[in-house]
Amino acid sequence: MKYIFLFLITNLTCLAQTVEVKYYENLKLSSQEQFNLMPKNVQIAYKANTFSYKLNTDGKSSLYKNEKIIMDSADQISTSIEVNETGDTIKKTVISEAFNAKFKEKSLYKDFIKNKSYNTQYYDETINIVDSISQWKWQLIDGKETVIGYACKKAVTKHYGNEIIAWFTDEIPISDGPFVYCGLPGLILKVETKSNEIIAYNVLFKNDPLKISPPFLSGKIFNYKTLKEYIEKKNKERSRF
Amino acid sequence: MQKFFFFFICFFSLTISSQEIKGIVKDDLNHTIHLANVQLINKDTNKTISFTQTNENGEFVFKTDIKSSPLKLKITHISYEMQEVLIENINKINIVLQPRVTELKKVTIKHKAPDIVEKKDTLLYNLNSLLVGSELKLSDVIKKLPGLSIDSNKKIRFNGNILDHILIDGDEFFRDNHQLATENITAEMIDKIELLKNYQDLSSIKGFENSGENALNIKIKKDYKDNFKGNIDTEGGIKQRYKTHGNLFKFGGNSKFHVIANSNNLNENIFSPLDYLELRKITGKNLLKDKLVLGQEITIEKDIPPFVFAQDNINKIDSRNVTLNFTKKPNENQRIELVSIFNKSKILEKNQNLITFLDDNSSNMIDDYSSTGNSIYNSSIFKFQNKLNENSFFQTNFYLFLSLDKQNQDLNNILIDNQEQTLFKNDINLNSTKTGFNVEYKTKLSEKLLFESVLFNDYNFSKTEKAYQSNKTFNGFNHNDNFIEQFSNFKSLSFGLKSKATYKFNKSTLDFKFISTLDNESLSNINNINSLYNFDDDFLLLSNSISTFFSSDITKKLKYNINLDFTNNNHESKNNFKRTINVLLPKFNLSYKITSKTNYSIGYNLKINNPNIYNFISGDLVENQRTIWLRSNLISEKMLADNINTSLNYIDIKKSVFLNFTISYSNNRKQLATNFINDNLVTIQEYQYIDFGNSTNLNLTFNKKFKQVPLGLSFSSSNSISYSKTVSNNIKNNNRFNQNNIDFNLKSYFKNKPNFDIGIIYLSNFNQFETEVATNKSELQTYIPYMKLEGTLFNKKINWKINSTYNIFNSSSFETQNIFDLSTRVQYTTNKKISIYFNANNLLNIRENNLKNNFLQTNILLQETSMNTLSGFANFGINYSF
Repeated sequence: MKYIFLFLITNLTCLAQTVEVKYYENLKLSSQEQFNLMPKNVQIAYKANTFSYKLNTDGKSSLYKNEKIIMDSADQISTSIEVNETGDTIKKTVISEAFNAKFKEKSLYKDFIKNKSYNTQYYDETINIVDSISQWKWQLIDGKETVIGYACKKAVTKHYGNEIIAWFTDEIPISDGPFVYCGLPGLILKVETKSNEIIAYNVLFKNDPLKISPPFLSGKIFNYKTLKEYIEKKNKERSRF
Repeated sequence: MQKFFFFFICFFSLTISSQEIKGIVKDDLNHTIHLANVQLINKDTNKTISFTQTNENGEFVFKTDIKSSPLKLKITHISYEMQEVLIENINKINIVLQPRVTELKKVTIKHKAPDIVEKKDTLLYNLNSLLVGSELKLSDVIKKLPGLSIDSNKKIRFNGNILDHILIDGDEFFRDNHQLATENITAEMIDKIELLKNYQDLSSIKGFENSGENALNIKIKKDYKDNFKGNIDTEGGIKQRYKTHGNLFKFGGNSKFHVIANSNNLNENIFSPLDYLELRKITGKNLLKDKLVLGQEITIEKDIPPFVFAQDNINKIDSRNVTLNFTKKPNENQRIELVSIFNKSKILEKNQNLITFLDDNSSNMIDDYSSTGNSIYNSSIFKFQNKLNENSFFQTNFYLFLSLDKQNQDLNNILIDNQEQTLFKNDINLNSTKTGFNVEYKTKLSEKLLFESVLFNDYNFSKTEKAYQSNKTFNGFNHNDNFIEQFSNFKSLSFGLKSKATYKFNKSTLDFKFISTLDNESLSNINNINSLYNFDDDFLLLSNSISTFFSSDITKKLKYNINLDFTNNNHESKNNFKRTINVLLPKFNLSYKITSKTNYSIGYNLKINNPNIYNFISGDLVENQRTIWLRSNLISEKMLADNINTSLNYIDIKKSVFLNFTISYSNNRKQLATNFINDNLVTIQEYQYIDFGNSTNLNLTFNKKFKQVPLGLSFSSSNSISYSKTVSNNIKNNNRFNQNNIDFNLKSYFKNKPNFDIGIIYLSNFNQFETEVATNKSELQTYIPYMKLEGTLFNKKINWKINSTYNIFNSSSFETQNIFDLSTRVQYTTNKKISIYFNANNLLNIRENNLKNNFLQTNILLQETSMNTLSGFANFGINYSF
């Protein structure tokens, strides 16, 4: 048997490299018209490049967390006066609830060594999901794009019939990405789905060891399976009313 | 949401005809790398076919049915350099990743790379961040590394303690001759530097590892390893000052070879005489000493010839030197080492001394002294080590030290009282030969029991011829002639044996040791004065000792050891006395780890000091033209000394802070001292026992490299105070000596920019000699502020250095001139092979030989010396590297 041995001259110590990436999560709109029709408080949620999330990763573990969301939003009452066919004047009052920034809050801790993820999100209540890290069946396809200066390659996968497109760069050789997305031979800088877009806007390298730890979880703890059951149960409860 | 769970290797459909591509990814220290990204790429299209990550064992597997087109692997990891490998063999692909050197992309760099990375017992220095680009030699490099320093004897120290070993690519080299390494290895040869805090050499046996010794491992760049490489330096200038220095080495493969040849009259020593003395450590007796497992033993170095300290206090020097270092490892378990040093030097000294005798009777004296000294010495050591199997080890050393020393002195003494002048012409020849061998064997009899044995045999011959010619008769010696001639022959034969059994418990070690040594010394003297000076003496010292040693790690933090040694010494002086001295010698050490960074240790031991044949001479012996040793009527007595050492050690790697503080105290319950009787014509000396004498030494070193600003701060302080009681002219003296050496230094780390190294050294000596009637005090304080600047120009084509030192002397007894010393070196590199340089030392004092003042005080005299020192020089030189 012939072995390939590579003798390399190394110049430096092994440094702990960590990367901090900031992403915007943007909701996609099908048309401007649709946007215009929305109440102002709902429009806030669609405001592009507003909701910022930070990913700190060293390839062994990572934390994806929202940055502080500062939103001035109060309940909004809009009054409109319409004249109906019979000539009556009708005063219409629409109250739209203030935008709740909590809906945009999330934190996801991934431990690649133990293959565990801790996901905390808000759906009417704080929900914790502790499960293994999502395994995506990525397929590499032709396509190139530059995201904040990094040459990215294209990968796609299907999730519940929806196509997810990821743009990753092997210039940052960390198999991680924003939120639940990971598993490509390079850091994911952009994710596109039918209704969502996550895009990186800042990359920072640090030579410090990563200082993150699994979050302290308060509230209900699920895995993805029990969560599904829980949501289904809740939906049923709701539909009774 | 749904739980996703797939193995990464299942990405693509597998066909039956598919083949497996397997491999493993490791780092250069052979540790496997987990979570490295591995892409399988079609080499022709450069498209990724498949990708995966390595598992916790560093392994990866691909299944592919592509057979025709060439495939390659691309391995990436955030902490390592990207690696592409063509697949030639699909079954076992070994990939070694090298740590990442450069930043990935210059976006915003918030934090700097750490200067030192600690991995277990190894400190890896980040040369990229610590070096500034103007370093030429290893010595320049070491001065930049936090925790390491080079002392005035050119010894490398780590956190205040002298390094135990220098390794070249993991193999011991250069022995204790640190200067050979620091001045001959160039900065460009160095690939990596690491400090091993617990170095284990070939003699280490599993389960019974040697106690932690420090070693500095210098990894050499590949370009400098395969072939013979070297360089030649030649420089010359006004006043016929010159230097030629050549280096030839080969570090690759199983053998390492290094030859250095040097010839100069610049007073540049290729290695310090202290190195030469330490080379003699290998002699048999020293192999019997066990290194303390815990704590520190501080030995106050004695018997160092004055020229070690001479520095530039000489009028002229011409030295020639060849040094060979060779090691070979025929296989993994065998090692051969050969070290040979040849040195020839000619030294011219010219001094004028004013000697004030402290007794009231003797006249003060002016002494004009000039001397020409020729010395040749050769030291050769051969070492063979063999690890016979996993459990046993054998080593043997042979050594031969030859030395020839010839001195011609001219003296002119003038007694101030009566202006009487006496001239002397002295010829002194000293030839000595020292040879011997030792053998060490150790074997592990079981997992818990180790047996060791050492055997040694040393021979020592030395012959001294002294001839004194004067214009007057030697009346002081009761010799009615103006010529004295003396021939002395000293012989010593030593033979010894050590056996040791070590038993290992859970957390403790117990050993029993038996040591037996025999020293047979003889001294014969023939002198033309009279028969009192003719004698033939023998001194026999047989020592047997049984000792037991217990060491235990009570907790992870607390360790201690206790040693109890029963020694039986038999001293026999022919026709004079026969004595047996039995003594029980205790020793203990305690070490406590206060925090992970702080360590404290304390130790105590009782030692017995042995006399030698010179203490019991049966006739008189001429020391020099005005001094004689009187025959001794002493008999051997028990001379015990207590030693207490304590040290505090703090190392914070992340913050680059190194601190070491030690205090050692030694008390001589009884010791041999010299008693003087002095008059105008002669000084008579004799040994006597005194039961008082102690000394305290304090050493503090501190080193900090800042992170936020490119600066490094270091501070070292060494203070000693000692007391003794002696007798001179039958009057008791209380003596007190205080020595201080304080060095404060600030240096910069501006990358590829000019850098500074500024500081101040404070040296002082305070001596006090007190009798019942008078107190004599003297002091010499020296302040040496210094500034060193260095940098490069024109893309490193020019390398420049400027050193300026100002010596401010402050003496209680005489006026001195302050000295400003300016030195510079500018080197221009024409191409990779040739560089030319200008080298100037003490630029402001080139024209005339300078005078420097010094003083010496003993309990009978105060000697003020005005010395002719070497003048400065300015040389042009050329360096050729191949």
